[in-house]
This record gives sequence, C-alpha cells and structure tokens, in this order.
Amino acid sequence: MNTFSPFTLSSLSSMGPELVLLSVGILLIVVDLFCKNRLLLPWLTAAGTLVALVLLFNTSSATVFGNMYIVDGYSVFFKMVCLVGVLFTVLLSERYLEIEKLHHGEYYSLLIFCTVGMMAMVSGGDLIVVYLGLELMALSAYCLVGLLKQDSRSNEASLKYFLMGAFSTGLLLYGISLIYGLTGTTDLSVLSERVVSLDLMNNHALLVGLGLVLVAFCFKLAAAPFHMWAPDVYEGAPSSITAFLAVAPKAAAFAVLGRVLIMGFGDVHIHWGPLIAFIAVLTMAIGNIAAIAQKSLKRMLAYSSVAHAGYALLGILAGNNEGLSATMNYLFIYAFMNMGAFAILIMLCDNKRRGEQLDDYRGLAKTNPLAAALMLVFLFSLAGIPPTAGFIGKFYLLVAAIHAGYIVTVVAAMVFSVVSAYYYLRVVRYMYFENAEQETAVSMSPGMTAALVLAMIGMVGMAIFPGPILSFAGKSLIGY
Amino acid sequence: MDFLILHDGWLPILSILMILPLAGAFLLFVIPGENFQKYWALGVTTVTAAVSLPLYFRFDSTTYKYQFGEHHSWIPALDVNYTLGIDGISLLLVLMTTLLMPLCVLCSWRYITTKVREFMFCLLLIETSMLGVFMALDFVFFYIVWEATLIPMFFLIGVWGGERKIYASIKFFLYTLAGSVLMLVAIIALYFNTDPHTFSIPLLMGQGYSSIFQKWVFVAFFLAFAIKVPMFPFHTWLPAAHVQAPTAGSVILASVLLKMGTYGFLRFCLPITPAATVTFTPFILWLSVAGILYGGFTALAQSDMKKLIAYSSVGHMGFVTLGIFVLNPIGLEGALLQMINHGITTGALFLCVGMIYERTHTRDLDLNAGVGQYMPVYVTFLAFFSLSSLAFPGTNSFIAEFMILAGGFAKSKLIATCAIPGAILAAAYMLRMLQKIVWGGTENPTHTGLSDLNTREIVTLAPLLLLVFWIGLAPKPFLNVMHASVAHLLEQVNGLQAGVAPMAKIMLP
Amino acid sequence: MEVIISSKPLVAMLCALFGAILVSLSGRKPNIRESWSVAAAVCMFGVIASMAPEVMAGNIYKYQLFDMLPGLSLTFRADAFSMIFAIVASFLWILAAFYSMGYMRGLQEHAQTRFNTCFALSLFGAIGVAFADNLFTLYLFYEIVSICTYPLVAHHQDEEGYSGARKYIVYLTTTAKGLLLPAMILIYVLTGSLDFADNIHTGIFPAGVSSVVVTILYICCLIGFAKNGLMPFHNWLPGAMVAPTPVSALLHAVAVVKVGVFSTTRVMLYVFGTDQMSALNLGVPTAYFVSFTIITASIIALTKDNLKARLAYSTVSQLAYIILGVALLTPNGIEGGLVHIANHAFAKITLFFCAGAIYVATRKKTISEMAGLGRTMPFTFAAFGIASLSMIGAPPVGGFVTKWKLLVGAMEMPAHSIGILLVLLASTLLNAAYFAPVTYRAFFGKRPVGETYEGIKEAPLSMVIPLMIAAIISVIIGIYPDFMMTFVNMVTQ
Repeated sequence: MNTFSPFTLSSLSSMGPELVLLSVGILLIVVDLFCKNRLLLPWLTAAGTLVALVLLFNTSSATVFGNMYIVDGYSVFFKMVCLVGVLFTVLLSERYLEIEKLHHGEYYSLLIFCTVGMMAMVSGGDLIVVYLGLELMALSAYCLVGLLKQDSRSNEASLKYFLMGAFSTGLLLYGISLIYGLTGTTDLSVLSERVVSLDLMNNHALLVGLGLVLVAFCFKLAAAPFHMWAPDVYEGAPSSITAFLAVAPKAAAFAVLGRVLIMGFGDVHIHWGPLIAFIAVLTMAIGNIAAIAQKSLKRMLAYSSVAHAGYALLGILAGNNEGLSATMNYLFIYAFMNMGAFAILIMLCDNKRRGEQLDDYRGLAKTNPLAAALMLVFLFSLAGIPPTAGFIGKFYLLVAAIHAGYIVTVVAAMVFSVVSAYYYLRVVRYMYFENAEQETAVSMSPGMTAALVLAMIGMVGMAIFPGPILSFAGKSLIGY
Repeated sequence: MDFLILHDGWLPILSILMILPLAGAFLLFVIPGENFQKYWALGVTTVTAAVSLPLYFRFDSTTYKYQFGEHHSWIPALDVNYTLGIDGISLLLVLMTTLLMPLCVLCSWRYITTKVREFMFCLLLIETSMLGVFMALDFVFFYIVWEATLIPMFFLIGVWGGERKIYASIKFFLYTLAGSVLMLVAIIALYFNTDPHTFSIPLLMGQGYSSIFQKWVFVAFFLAFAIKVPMFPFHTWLPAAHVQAPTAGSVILASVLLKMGTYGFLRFCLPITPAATVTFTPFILWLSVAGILYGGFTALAQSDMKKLIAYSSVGHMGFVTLGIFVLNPIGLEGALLQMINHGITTGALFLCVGMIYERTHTRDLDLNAGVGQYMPVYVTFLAFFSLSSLAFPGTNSFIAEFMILAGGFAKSKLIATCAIPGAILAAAYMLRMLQKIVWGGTENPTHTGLSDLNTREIVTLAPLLLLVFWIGLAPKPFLNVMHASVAHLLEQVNGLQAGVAPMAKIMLP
Repeated sequence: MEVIISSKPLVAMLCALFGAILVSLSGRKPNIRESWSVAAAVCMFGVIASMAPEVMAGNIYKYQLFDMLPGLSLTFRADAFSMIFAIVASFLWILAAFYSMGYMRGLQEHAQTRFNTCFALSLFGAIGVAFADNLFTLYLFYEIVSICTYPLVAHHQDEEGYSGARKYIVYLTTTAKGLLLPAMILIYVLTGSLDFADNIHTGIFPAGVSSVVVTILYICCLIGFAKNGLMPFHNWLPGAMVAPTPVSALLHAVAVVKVGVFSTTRVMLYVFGTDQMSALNLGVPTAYFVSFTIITASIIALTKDNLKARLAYSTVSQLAYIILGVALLTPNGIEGGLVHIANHAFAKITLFFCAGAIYVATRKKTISEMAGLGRTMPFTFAAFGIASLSMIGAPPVGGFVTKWKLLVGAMEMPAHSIGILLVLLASTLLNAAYFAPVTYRAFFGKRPVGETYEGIKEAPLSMVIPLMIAAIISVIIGIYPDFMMTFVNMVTQ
C-alpha cells in the first residue's frame, strides 16, 4: 500500500465525474455572464449532474495520487447519493429561486463546487484530502446559505454556519495533527496498520485525536450535542439549500466518518462504539423532542434531520460492513423522502406565504389533494412507518445495531421513533383533519414535477423492492 | 419449507386476495361519481369475499401445515421472503375479514357523505393489510402489514370521525405504534438468535431459546399484542377510538384489528416462546380476569351506546385471552371461536348503533330510549345481537364462552370462578341497553317519524345474524378446521401429543 | 325400554314457535291473531298427547337437533318425567289462550300482539325445558323463558311494571349466569358430557369425583334455578305480580315457576341421582332447607290482603313441596313431589284465573273488598273454593294425592319423619288459614257498607269457562290420579 503511484493522465480518468462537474461549474459562471436566459442554468446543471452520474458508474475502481484518492464502490455509492441530492436540489431550485427573486448565476456553480468538495471528501483516502474536500464543500455551503441577502435570517444563518464550521475545522485539524504525530501518517489504510503495529490501541493521545476528529464530523452531521447550528441554519437558508444541506453534505460526512472510523480505526471500535451509541441516542432524543415544539415546518424538518442523523449513526455504531451498508442504504432512502418533503414545502411557497408554517398546511387535503397525499407519503416515510421505504431503511439499521449487540440503543431509537411519529402526524392532522382558511394556489414547474415524480418513484420502488439498493450498498463494501 | 403446502394450480389465491382490494383501491381514482365509487367498493369487497370462500372448501383440516402457501424471495441479503400461508388458526380470521368488508361498505352508504372516494380507498387499503397480517408467514412482511393497518385506520377515525376525532385518532396511532416498535426489536433479536438466521415464522417456532431470552421476547411481543387486544391496563385508547370512529371504522376496529392482537398471541407468543408463555401464564390469566370484570363494570356505567359496546369489547377480549392462556385444547379452540364471534357480534352491534345514529343523531341511551316502538325490525336485530353478546345459550358467543370457561375450570377453578361475574355483568349491561332502547322508561323522548330499517340495512345485518345462530347451534364446521392446528400449537407449547381428541384432555385429576 | 328416534318433541315445540311468528305477523287482525294462538296451543297439545301412549309403554322419544361439541348437543327427549310437565303445560296453554283473549279484550289492554307473541314464546321455552335431554338444552330453554317473559311482566310499561320486570330479570339472569353456568361448565369438565342419565338413581358423575365439588355443584343448581322460588331468591315472584293476570297465571302455574321446579328436580334426579345424593347425604338438608321456605312463605301469605300477592306467596310455599318430595329421595316422596307439579298447576291456574276474572268484573284486587262477592259471581268463587281445597290438600281434590304421597314418603325415613311431618302439618294449617277465609267471606261475609255490587256480573264466558274447566280437572285428578301417577311411577321405577 505504500507504493507511490505517480501522477498520470490515466489517474485523471478515475476522476471523470469530478472533472465534469468542475467544468460545468466554470461553464455556469461563464454562461451566467453572457446569457440572459435564466432557465438555461438549472438545466445545464441538471445535465451536468446526470452526465457525472453516468460517468460515475463507468469509472473503474482505482487508487490514485498515491493512496490519496480512492475510487471504490464505497465512494461511488456515496457520490451517487450526493449527486441525487444535487439533482433534486437543482430541480427544486428552478422555481424557488424565481419566487425568492434570487437571480444569481453563482448559485448553481456554488452548488456544483460544493458537490465536487463532497466527492473529494468521499473519495479521500488521506485525512488531508478529506480535509480539503470538506473545506471546499463547507465554503460553498456558507455562501449558499447566505444567498438571501435581504433576509436577516439568512444572513444570520450564514454567519453562524461559518463560525461553527470554522471552529469545527479547527478541531478537525488539531485532531489530525495529533493522529499524525502519533502514527506518522495521514493515510487511512496505513493508519490502521500503524495503530496496531505501534500498539496505540489504548493510547490516550490517539483517542483524544480521534475524539476531536469525531467531534468535527459530528458538527458536519449535526449530531447532538454539536447540532446547535443546524436548526437556525436550516431555517434561515433558502429552502432548496436546506433540503440540499440536510441530504448531501450529511451523506458525505457519513461517508468520511465510516471510512475513518471503520477503515482507519476499526480496531479501536470498543472505544468509539459506546461514544457513538451515546451520541446517536442523544441526537435522536434532542432532534425528536425539540421537533415536537416547532410551529414552523421547515424548522421541524431541520430537527427531524438532526434526529435522522442519529438513526443513521446506528449503522456506523455497528462498526462492520453490515452496519455501514445499512447506513448507506438509509441515507439513500433519506435523500428521496427528505427531498420529497422539501419539494412540497417549496411547492406551497408563493409570494404571499413561505409554506413554512404548520398553519399553511391547514386543510391542504381539500385544497390540493395531490400535494397532501404526496406529503403524506413522505412524512410517513420519514416517520419510518411501514409499508414505506423509510421503514425499510430503519429496519436495516436496527438489524445491524442489534447484531452488534446494541439492544438498549435500539430500544431507545424505537422509543424516539414513536415520539417522532407524533410530530409527523401533526402535519398530517393539519393537512387532513382541519379545514383550510384560504385557498392554496400551487403553480407547478417542470423541475418540480420531475422532482416529485422522481421522489415518488424512489419511495415506491424502494418500498416494494428494497433488495437491490441494499445489495448494491453491500457490494460496494466488498472491495473495501 | 416442509411447514408449507404450496398452492396447487396456477392461481396464488392468497396473493390474489390481497391484491384485489389494493388494486380496487387505486382504481377508485379513475372512477367518477360517488355512487359509482360506492358500487365499485362494494363490488371489489364482494368479489374478494367470493374469492376467499374456496379457501374453506379446499382447506385440508387434517394437517396443521400452512396451506395455499406462496414463497418468493424478497430481500435476499437478509433472507426476507414473501411467504404466505394459512392454517386452522388464521383461516377463519381471513374469512371473517373478507366477509365483513362488504358490510362495512354497505353501512357507510349513507353515513359517509364527504370524501367518499377517499373513504372507500381507506377501507380497501385496510382490507389488504388486515388480510396480510393473517396470511403472513414472514416476520418482516408481517410487521409491515401489521403497522400498515394503522395508517388507513388513522384516517378513518381522523377524517370521518366524531367531535374529538383528532385526539382519538392520534391516541390510537401513537398508542398502538408504541406497542409494536418493541416487537420489531424482538423480531430482529429472534433473527439473530436462530441458526441459520431467518425471519420465517414457522422456522422460529420450537427453537428452544434460552429461558431469559424467551422472557424478553415474550414481554416485547406481549406489549404489542396486549395493546392491540386491548388487555386491561392497556385499553385506554379503545373507547376513544371507538366512540369517534365512523361506523365502518368501529366495525373494522372491533371485529378485525383487535383480533390481530390475540392472533399474535396464538401465532407468535405461544409457539416461539413456550417457556416464557408458561411462566407468564398466571399473570396474564389474572389480567384477563381483571379485564373481564373491569370491562363489565365500566360498560354498565356508560350512557353512550358506542362506549358501552367498546367497554364490552374489553371484557370479551378478556375472555379470549383467558381462553388462550389456559393452554388446553378446549380453551384455545374456544378462544379462537370467540375471536370470530366477537367479530361478528360486536361488529353487528356497532352497525346497529350506526343505524340508530343515522336516524336520531345521538348515541345516548336516554335520548334513544324507546325507539323499539317505532322500529320493530331494528330492535329485533338489536335484541338478537345483544343476546349474542351476553352469551345467551344458542348463540355463537355462548358456545365459545362455554369452551373458554371449561378450559378455565380445567386449568384453575379459582380463575374461572373469578371470571364468572363477567358473564353476569355482560348480561346486565346488555340487557340494560336493550331495555332502554326497546322500552325506555315511562316518559320517552318523541321518536315519531323514525323509519325502520331499509332493505340495504337488513341485507347488512342478516348475514351476521345467520352466522350468530349458525355458530351458536352448529359450531362443528368452524371447530373442525381448528383441531389439527390447535393440537399442533399445544404440542409446541407443552408437548401435548398431537392427534389426541381435544376433549379427552380436559378431564381433571 | 326402547328409544324412538323421532322429531315429535321438536315438532311440539315448533308449534309454539311458529304460533308466535304467525301471531306477530297478524297483529292487525285480532281475531286471526288469537285463533293462531289457540291453534298453536291445540296443535302442541295434540302432538304431545300423541306421544303419551308410547311413553306410557315405557319408551322414550329422542331427537338430536345439533351436535356442538363432544358431549354437548341440542337434543330432545320425551320420557315419563318430561311428559308430566309437558302435558300439563300444553293443556293449560289452551285454557290460558282462551282466558287471556277474554281478559285482554275485557280490559282493552295495549300491545296485545306483543303479549300473545311472548306468551307463545314462553310456552316454546317451557316445553323445550320439558323435553331437554341434557343440561345445555335445559339451560338454553330456561334462559329463553326468562327473556321471553320479560315483556310480559313489563307489559303495563309503567314505573311499577318496569321495576317489577327489572327485579325479575336481575334475579333470574344473575342466578342463571352466576351459578348455573359455572355449575354446568364444571360438570362438563368433570364428566365430559352434559347428557342426563337414563334413570333417577345413577347420576352422571364418574366415581372418584371429589364429594366437596359435587356438593358445591348441587347447591349451585338448587339455588341457581331461581325460578323454583326457593327462599332467599324468591323475591322476583311477588315483584312480577304487576303483570296482567293471565301472565301471572302463566308464570305461576305453567311456564316459569314450573320450569324452575322441573329443572331443579330434573337435575337432582338425572344429573346427581338418588344414589349420589344419599351417599353425600344431600337429601335431608335440602328437605329442611325447603321446609323453611314452606313455612315462611305461608306465614307471609297470611299477612297479604292483595289477592294476587297472597297467591304469589302461596306459590312460593307450594313449589317447595315439590322439591321437598324429591329431596326425601324415597319413591313415595319423589312421586308425591312430581305429581304435585300437575296438581299445583291446575289448582293455581284456577286461582289466578279467578283473581283475574274478579278483577275484570269488579276491578277489585284486595281480599277485604271481596266480602259477599261470591253470591254475585258464584261460578268464579266456587272454582276458587275447589282450587283452595287442592292447595290445602283436602280430598277429593288433586292436592290430597300429593299430601298423601308426601306423608307416606316422610314416614319412609324414620330418622326424620317427625320433623317433616310437623312441617307438612303446619303448612297445611297455614294453607287453610289463608285460603279458607277468602271463599268463606265471599259467600258468607257481609258486604261492605254501601257496596251493592250493582251491575256486576260474572266475567266473560271465555274467562269463566277455562277457569271452570281447570277447577273440574283439579277434582278429576284428585279422584282419578292414575293418569298422572302412571308417568310418575315410571319415573321412580
């Protein structure tokens, strides 16, 4: 593994998707300068994403740049999740930006750069690359969150996100340096060997380093107790970006977490296992309980997203391939259901109201039955109630966690999932059991339709045929 | 797969039974006009009922194996399969479900005035999932359909319910959801404690798990099923849900959804965790007795007819759990029969309440006092169903209660004796209701202008009345299909020899 | 003894059931309705009478309608024991049908269709009890009688009617559900069957069943059949007096209390059996237990001025005779008890018919108001007098046969003969004390001041004729007791 693989052009071919996206990002800036047709931008982005997606599956596995950049099934899977997230975001943005009068060409290019950053994170075989990708992603995201310049909430969110992000980056770097100091490497595959060969399994300094890295990632995951930024940022950010943040960067952070913990520090599982268990339970508790109190659907979904990070941690917790594939599967399903819910939220957004308050959903079933029905499916799925895909995702996580012996954690997870059912049901209640105060006019756009259809197909497909995605996730891990 | 007898011929009848209502539900959205939608729902449920009938005639009652089986791989990674099959325990429940659904459509004909399409959609959806519960032989699939019943029911109560519908529907949903989440944990724990790992229900039976593990699994299952049944301390969601639900919702709730709990005991608790079952038996028996008495006393104090019947359900289901946990053939068969009976009788009583509510717009006993004078046909039906509910000899409930108590006496004279006041209470509250409705007092509210039952309503009630007497007088056709499965079940629980005539075992020392 | 498989017992019952259905369907035409009643009664009696010869020849009719569980079925049997009750009940129904026609029309009562329907249904239940071949069938029809007589008791739909009916149903269903049902189930668990034994001796319990359990079961049955009016569960009976008089007649003479007594004795003899009862020494305590009822009820009857109330307590007392006789467990005692089913039925129905006739004619209810009325209504009071004699046990009326047999039966048990004899003596005196004055005053008493009985004449013929017939039959079965005694003797053989 230590053999140095020199930089060659063929190494670049392994980075096909990233390069495509990068060029699309630059192209977007150029087009924005010279072309007045605003509609061109989203479709160009979408096309670029699709091309990247296609290329993704045609790229052969490789380890390039001297173990620094790994293209394997694992990274492909997470890249897929990220790209799906971006695709959704683009489709949703088309109309949303018009409503918010957000006419910035850089919106799409930032989105693309953010994605490239995530892909770098996911493929990072070295802590330094991970760090680089993370920063690229984070810096783009800070800007995206603050794009609504007129809205003080957006500004506040951006600043908060930036400060918190910077802080967590500091912690990450400190952690990495500690690890490097002890093991002499930042290469993840070498790291695990060194931990064993240098007998660092119980070394406190290493554990502190690992802890700091963990904390940094928990910031990114918005796992409790490092989630405080999330509700404000999610609420303040443009809705499409909120949807994006809740799915793609989170998936990328999970990918890294999985790689670092299981690949780099698999042997010290006994140390980080209980910690992750504690964080998972705490995240679920805080996310779900705080969500109950929310009056704003957007904020509620923000907390719910915190809680879902807790569920997804259950798979990491297991510390084995089974758990990791369950988490991957869950994140993929979560991308669909969360995007679906945000799609409805954005759909109900018009000039008069933002579609963010629970009251906006009063009587939706009467004024717009289709939107209500779709929202219903997404909400039940988020709540993890059979027979939705959300249940399937949760089910795998539970299987993995129980297999690893974390029965108590699982029981806690189940209890909080009942709690979560309460606030999801409350939305359903508003939509179906109460009467509308005003008529809702919903204007659809092609992008929105495409997003909803895609989300729905994903939901139904994964509910009826849950096997393929899981086996795909499982297979991604085999070469790991 | 030697527990499963695959269906013969090319028609997978069980899948068809599940798909028919599901497809019918989605096709509702292309059918215009409320009337057509009603007829469509009626047609779909009737066809489903008709398709289910061959199950009985082609059922082989000599074997305990699961019949009409189907087996397809679903999630290979976890060995989750789509396995269906029915045995003597589930056969009658399946038939009862399919039979009741057309009646539920019929009774909603006038009662439901808004969102007819959505209402029928929910009805058909819930039929699919209920049938799935009784047919599933794979734990994951079972859990999915088990929980899937909640969603349509949640809407049936929440959208078409009474004044406090929101409270009732959410309470119903959360309460039952909370009960069953631990079951999921137990299911997964079972999966990993079995070698090879499997979710196949029959393969999990008789595995000889360690005693402590059995206890934990039992407790998790018990919580889920006890809430569903509902057993005594877990019953509080039931009256609220019943009172607020529309008639069809109450009927489905009482007749089928509650049975899922007792079915769960029979299908899972007993054979999978036999040692824990035996350990916990005394507690459950006493809980059952408490439920019988509590349900009876509370029902006696109600002035709302639906509440009265809801609490009577608590008592009746107490008898069912009593019968199950006496763990002898006669008690078990009685419990199984009582499950069917309760479905028929209580369903019919809820239908009756719905009919009177449509006319007088109240369910209060005092406000409905003395309608018998104006609605002789109605009170005749009501009288027969009330008698059935109080286990009048010659009606269906009597035979089942007789068997349950016989099983109870064979198990413990003390417990059976303690349950006897429940029978008296049943007579008391039912006769009280009947007296009020038929006779009232000396001064009754004026009911002039009340019309008696129309043909549709008579058609709704008549099949149930027929069953009341059929089961009450000639229960053998219903009991015969159970023998093999019940004997096998007991063999799994305490090693009783299969094939022994059920009656020979009840003798006391 | 030969078993004849025949549906005749069922047919007899169906007469009443179809009668009830036809009556309820022809509610708008009173004449047709009543003729259905009468036709049903006549048919039923005809079918039952047609079985008499075979039964007298020592054969038994059996018919299994439904087989439910092993050892549990809906089966009918017509043997000598059931014939005693069946013949009496079905015959009296004919009389009662005519009588109630006159009574109800005479008083222009409401809801006559319901009344007649329930009347027929009660008979359906009563005959079902008579022909029951097992405890389950017996219990089924016992409960049918309880339910179907409820509307009859509550007929007037006033406060008094409802409270009487409530008391009625509460007593009867509580005891049936609370005592009979568990007893029945426990018997089933112990023996695996509920079928009655073929004779009165063996009972159905296998050897080795705990004697404590059997004793408890026996007590449950004795008290559980609360229709037998044993104290302390007798209170429903006076309460039910609010019903129209034909109903009281029916309750007291035919359908209800007789069902109770019949069931009690049936179970004593054919479930427990004389052997078992003697072995466990259950007979004598029972005899003393019912003696308490005999004496106490008679004393209470003395205090009642209301004629129907006095008759009600008389019934409580007389029913206990029947159980007393059977509890003696000697052939003569049993015969005396059983024949009293018939004797009491004819006499008591006469008395109630008279009370009703007096009420229809004069609207009078209390005895003190009836002084001197006998001269205005001679036939009625003559019949009353005859029936009173039967109650007292004086020859040549039916009651005498009972008393004779009971006394002989008591003598057969030397150890306790004195006690039983004293009870019988005391009760005879008491009977005389509360019955004799009624007739005496009616004929020889002074009319109350200012009372002229002007415009009062005998009740309608449809009432007087039945009550005369009943009275005459009372005399006939006193002079010629053989017909009934044939059946009774066959039981004890």
